[in-house]
Order: sequence, then C-alpha cells, then structure tokens
Amino acid sequence: MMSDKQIKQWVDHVPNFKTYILHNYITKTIYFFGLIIIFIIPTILIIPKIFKQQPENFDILLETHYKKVVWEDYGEVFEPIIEIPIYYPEKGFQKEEFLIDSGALVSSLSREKAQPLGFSLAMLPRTTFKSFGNSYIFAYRANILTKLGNEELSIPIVFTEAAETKSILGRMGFFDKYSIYFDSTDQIIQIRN
Amino acid sequence: MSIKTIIERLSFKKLTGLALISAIVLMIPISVELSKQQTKTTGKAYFEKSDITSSKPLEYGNSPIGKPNISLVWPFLGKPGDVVLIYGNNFGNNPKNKTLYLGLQFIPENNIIAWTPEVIEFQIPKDFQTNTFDFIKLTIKEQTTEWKHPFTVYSTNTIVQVKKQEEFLSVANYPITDGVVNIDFDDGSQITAKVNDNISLPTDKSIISIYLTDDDGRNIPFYVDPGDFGF
Repeated sequence: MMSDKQIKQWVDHVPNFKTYILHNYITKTIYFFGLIIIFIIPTILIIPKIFKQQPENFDILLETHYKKVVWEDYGEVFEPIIEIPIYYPEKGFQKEEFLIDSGALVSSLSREKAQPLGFSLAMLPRTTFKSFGNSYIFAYRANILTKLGNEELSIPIVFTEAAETKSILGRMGFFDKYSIYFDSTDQIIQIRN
Repeated sequence: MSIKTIIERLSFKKLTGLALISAIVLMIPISVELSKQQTKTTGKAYFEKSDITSSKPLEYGNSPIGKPNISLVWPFLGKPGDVVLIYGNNFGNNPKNKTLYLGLQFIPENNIIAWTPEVIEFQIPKDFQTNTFDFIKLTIKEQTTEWKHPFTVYSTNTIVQVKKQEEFLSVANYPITDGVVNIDFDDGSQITAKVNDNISLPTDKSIISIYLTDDDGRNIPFYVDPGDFGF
C-alpha cells in the first residue's frame, strides 16, 4: 500500500510526465504519421469502388450461390450450377439444375425428360453430336419454356442420350440474351437482364 | 536546428495541418496506382458476331481404292430433316465422283454433313416423299453398293408405332387388320410376324432394320421411340 505522501509525490509528477510525453518528438512523430495513415486509409478503400465498373442498368433475374464439389483428385472446385424453372405441361414450372457451360453450343437435357416435358422424341428433328473417340450421339432438338425472374423465355435445347449427365445451359438463345455474372467475392452467380 | 527540435517545437495544430497536406500529396500517386490496377481488372473482350455460318458443301478428297461397302445404316428409319449415319468402309474422303440415293431420291451435296472413309452422315431432304420401300444406294467412281435392308421414311403425321418393351415387339395404331412386320438382325436372320402379334425377340441378336408391309406387300410408314432402340 502506498502512503499518502507517496501518492502526493506521484500525482505531483503527473503534470511533468504529461508535458514530457506531449512535447516529446517521438510522440509527435507517431501522431504525424498516424494522421497521414488515417487520412490515406479511406482513399485506399474508396478509390477502387469509385473506379469499379458498375453496370449501368440491370435487373438481377436470378441469383444463386456457388456450389462447391469435392473432387477426389482436385479437391474443392465450384460448379456453376443454377436452378431454373422449366415448364412441364402437367406440373407447371419446376426447378431444374443446369450447369452453365459457355463452351456448349446449345443447352441439353437428358432424353428421359422429353416425355414429361410433352415431347415425343420420334417427332423432333434428329441431329448428331460427336462424342469421345469421334463416336456419334443422336440428339433431338426442341424448345422449352423457362422462367427467369418474372420473364418467360423459350430456349432451344437438345435431348441427348446420356441419362446420368447434368442438364447444360449453353450459348444458343441464352448467352446472347442475358449477362451471366460470376462474383468471386460474394461467391454468387447472377443472371442479369 | 535539428529535426528533433523542429518537431518538438511544432504544435499539434500545425502537425495536424502538415499531416493533412502530406496525406493529400501522397493520395495523388496512390489514387493513380489504384485506378490503374482497376483498369487492368476491368479489361474486356467483346464477342464478335461471326458471319452467318451456312452449311457449306464439304471439300472434296480422295476416292477409295476398293469397292465401297455398307455395314450398317443407322437408324433404320427417319423423317425428312433427320440425320442418318451410314457405316462401312472404302467411302473415301468425300470423293467428287459419287452419288448417294435414298430410294429414288438423290441426296444433294448440301444434305451431306460428313463423309469419311468409314462413316457418311447425311440429312434426309426436307421435301422427301415416298410411297415405296427406300433403300440406300451408294455409287463411288462407278462402283455401286446398296444396303439391302429397307429404310422407312415417316412423317410427323404418322400414327403407326412399333414398340419394343424389354424383349417383346408390338405394333400400335395399325390402321388395318392384316399386315406383316419384318425384323432383320445383325447376323442376317429375320423374323416375320403378323402385326397383331406380340413378338418375342432373341436376346443374343441386335435389330438392324424393321419394316411393315400390308397384305399387298406395300410398305407402311411407322415410327419408333428412339429410346426403345438406342438411338
């Protein structure tokens, strides 16, 4: 425990200490550079936002989070999968997962979906695609009705043989009409008008 | 007078002002650098619409040395506008001196999608009309070969359907009571049955062609569900 005298001596020293600290060149230097940093930080934060390209006017028709898939050999890789409602004559609009594929000429669905979507493959125009090893795959062309936000959209698709493969959203009738925006910061995919 | 003394003599008000001026001076190069970085990341590549890609005729190539040989026409039916594949060998690389016929109708160059030594891919002409059996006939450098199994051309109005469910084949919506269904297999064998029969199919053979005939031997167009036959 400090005696009263000791306390008084310590208090008496405080003004001197304060004066010393406030007039010390180290304190002032820290203060000076601290202020510069405080002034500059907002600039660093704001400038990129000012210069960031913002699309002028757009409606976000559909937004979805990245879906991550863990691959045995490659680890975690995100897949650009979006759910788009497609029209079934008996059930109305039902959500269907599509893999966004800018390398695909046309969107595709497995042929098992043709009948529920109201198509008879035999009556659809038949075409071919070359598969691995240059083998041929028959595909059947049709148009399906989809919904993006409140917009209904008819997109050309092909029904293909492979039942286990994902439905693919290709370029034709889609990439030329909408903007597909991948936001790696927020890990989202947006379909914009 | 040392820097230390100068700093000690400066008041906090002056220091604040000096710091503000220094910050503004520093902000200029920092802003320029940051904006440059943003410019880099906003680089764009505009997609260019190419000229309309029309179905150009294929370039001509070598003629085969031997006689062309057809091993399969697949599928065995189609409607105008559908793509058909002809497998075989000695087709050459789209030789100039060639003719391809489906029944009596010549397949023009524009309907030939691919022509390699082993595969010919063609589209049935959209104006194709038929009332008889149609056979694929191929002539290259005056050497002719024909696929001996009839190819059926149907239309979107065709109602007769041949169904394959598991190992049974049946005919639906046949307009008259009598008729014959002919099934050709890959080993050269054939099954001929009445259209009303439920036909049991052998498990060890593959169907390469089906055709329907009425009592007078005329062909009856029909369609199949491609999924039933794997095409």
